[in-house]
Amino acid sequence: MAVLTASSADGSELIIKIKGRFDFSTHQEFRNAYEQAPQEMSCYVVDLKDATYLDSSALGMLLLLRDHAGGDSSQVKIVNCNADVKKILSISNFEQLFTII
Amino acid sequence: MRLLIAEDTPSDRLILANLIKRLGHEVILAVDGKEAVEQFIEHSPDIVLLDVMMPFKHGTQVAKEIRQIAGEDLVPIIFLTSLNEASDLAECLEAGGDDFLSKPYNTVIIKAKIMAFSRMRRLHKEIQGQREHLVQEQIAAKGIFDKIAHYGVLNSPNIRYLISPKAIFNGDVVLAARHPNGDLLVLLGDFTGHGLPAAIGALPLAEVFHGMVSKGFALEDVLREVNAKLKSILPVGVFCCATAAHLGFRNRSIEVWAGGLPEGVIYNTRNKSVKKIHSQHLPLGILSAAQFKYQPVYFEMDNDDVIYLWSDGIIETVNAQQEMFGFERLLNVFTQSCNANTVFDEILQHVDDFAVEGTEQADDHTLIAVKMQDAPSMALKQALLVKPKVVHRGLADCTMTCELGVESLKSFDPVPLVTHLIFQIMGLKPYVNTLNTILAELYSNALEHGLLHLDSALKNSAQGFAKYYALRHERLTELTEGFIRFDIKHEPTDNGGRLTLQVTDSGQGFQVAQTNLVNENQNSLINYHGRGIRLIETLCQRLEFIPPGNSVIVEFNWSWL
Amino acid sequence: MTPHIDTEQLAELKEVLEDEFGVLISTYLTDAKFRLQLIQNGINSQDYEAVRLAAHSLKGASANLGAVILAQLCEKLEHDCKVGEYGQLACLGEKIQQEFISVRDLLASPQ
Repeated sequence: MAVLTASSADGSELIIKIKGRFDFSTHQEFRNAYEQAPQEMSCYVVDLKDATYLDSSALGMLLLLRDHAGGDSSQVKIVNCNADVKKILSISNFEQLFTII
Repeated sequence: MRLLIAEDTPSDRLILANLIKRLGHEVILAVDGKEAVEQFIEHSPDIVLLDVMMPFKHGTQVAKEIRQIAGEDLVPIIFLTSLNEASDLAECLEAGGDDFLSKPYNTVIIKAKIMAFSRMRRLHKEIQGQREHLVQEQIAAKGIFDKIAHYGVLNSPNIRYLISPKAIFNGDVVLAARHPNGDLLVLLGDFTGHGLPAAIGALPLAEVFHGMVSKGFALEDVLREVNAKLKSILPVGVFCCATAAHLGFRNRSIEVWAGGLPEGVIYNTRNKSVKKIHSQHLPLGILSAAQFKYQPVYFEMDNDDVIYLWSDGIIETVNAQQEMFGFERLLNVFTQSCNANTVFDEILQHVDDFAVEGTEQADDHTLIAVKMQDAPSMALKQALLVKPKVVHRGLADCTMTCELGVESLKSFDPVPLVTHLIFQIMGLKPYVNTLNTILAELYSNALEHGLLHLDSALKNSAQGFAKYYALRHERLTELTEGFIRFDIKHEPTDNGGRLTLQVTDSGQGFQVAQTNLVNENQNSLINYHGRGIRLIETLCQRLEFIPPGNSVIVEFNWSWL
Repeated sequence: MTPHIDTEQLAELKEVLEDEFGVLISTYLTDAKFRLQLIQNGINSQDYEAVRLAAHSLKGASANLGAVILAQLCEKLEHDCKVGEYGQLACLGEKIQQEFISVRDLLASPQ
């Protein structure tokens, strides 16, 4: 499975782990991950520790998640980014929309 | 369905033919291997039943030939055989056979297999039809897309560009258009996603860009509008990474906004310096109008500067070891180039050498290089391009006044608006470029010198350029009082008309400032107002400063062509 | 004892072919005679490849008409030729001729 989900202990945070290539083929699974979770998540965390590659459709998917999570009032964190992933996110200036660790 | 039966034993042939006809299909017969191939070519059957041992050509040979002739077309081949050795059967499959029918023929089995392969064949044809349809759609869309891409001034002599032939599929866009005063605005965009949906955003982008730039709108206004438009029509998750530049030949500045694309470069062919253009904004189409940020970077324009922009196709080209070409290698092309004029080709050559041979990647690049031009020669070259239609309709004798207060000055550029007003005077249409240049020059002088007290000399120092614009931004934000007024008067004359333009600002005027200046020579006028004043003098019949110098009148006479 | 012709199979064929059934029988018989000739000539001239091919064809055609024994004999002949066992060929050839006569008589008689 390229996409794994888990919740925090108190159930308020949804953690989505991506394994392998985060690209167009991950689209459906990624959507299912957050759409099928209960609505009242206060925070979403996307864990990219095992992600090997990120392309522009992945950026698009992150935007979709942010939109689902409430847009401007959303809390979405992108964590465990390796150097390459960080570079891609910084060229797009996504730190202006997401908390990137 | 149409079935070809190739079987040399006559009784077997008869049995099969009858069976198949009974199932409702059309039958083509062949009695040997040679005839089998000929019949296949002539009748293009949907399914082939092939005996293995046939005179003139062995069944496996026939199968190989048929496969080659069919090409992409999926024609099921069923071998008729009483061979029962595994090695023989394996050979049949390798030759291109899909299935077997053994003798004696079992009607039930034959019926089942024919039905199964018929269904497969039908599905395959459906898919082929849909694919053909898609290809046609894409060709049509590409035609439209190419028109957008080549509209505008991309074919100017100082621009060199390459658009990926797959641009319509990977969403690359390159646009170039001129302000009426000759300034050049370019934009390189990369829509996310793949296929046609990615390219659909290109249409409104191009329309807004060309429309606004031709009217003289500033880059900021163009990008704000583009962003708002894309945000409203594109679905969430689809956006456009872009770098846009305003090459101001008039005031010798390069203003760049970059959002989401890999770094571009300003390369100087004389001193080989390389200035990087970093992406500091979110791509277009993500933020709402209120959140959209416009924080451009300014560079002073040098005549030998060339601005290079590219989409990520070049950077992401991979070699046999799956390494990416990367930005470092690209920079090296610039620093190691011996001949500044061939850098464009060198970039393409290096990427080509690097890429895995024969792959599609080798072609998938979008790249643009824009050389600077000399402004005065450009503006003066703005000859009368078009004979106006002899329709004496529109504004003729009129007077207009437009005064902007502080709040307006902070967030509105009146030059396009006033240009547009003047444009309504029919006879002035051919001169609109010249007039826009004059207006823009007078307005920027009034604002920057009259109200903001900026000194043009600051632009000449190293770092001065960035400082100048930073200061401009700061002082404009802090402005609390002031106005700029345009007084426009037009009177028809016997053979044309006279336009009188007066621009007045609420500042002290340069004559006051002049007494404060240490340097009181001839050049003080230029120092105060910038090089543009010389230009206006050449373009107008009269230029007069009203004491104390915060008001300028210019007179422009024109005649019918 | 195995019958010379599988009557059930033949009946099925008749059903499929209807009016064409007669044509099928005569086509088979004509072709079979031709193949038998080829077999005989081949054995006589020791052209074992020719024997093999003719036996293969007759085998298939006979199987389709339900002539099971004939088909089996042809298969043996084909196999022997293929592996180079030429000792029994003449004998097999005889048996095939005999079997064919039985088959022919059965097919020619009214069904």
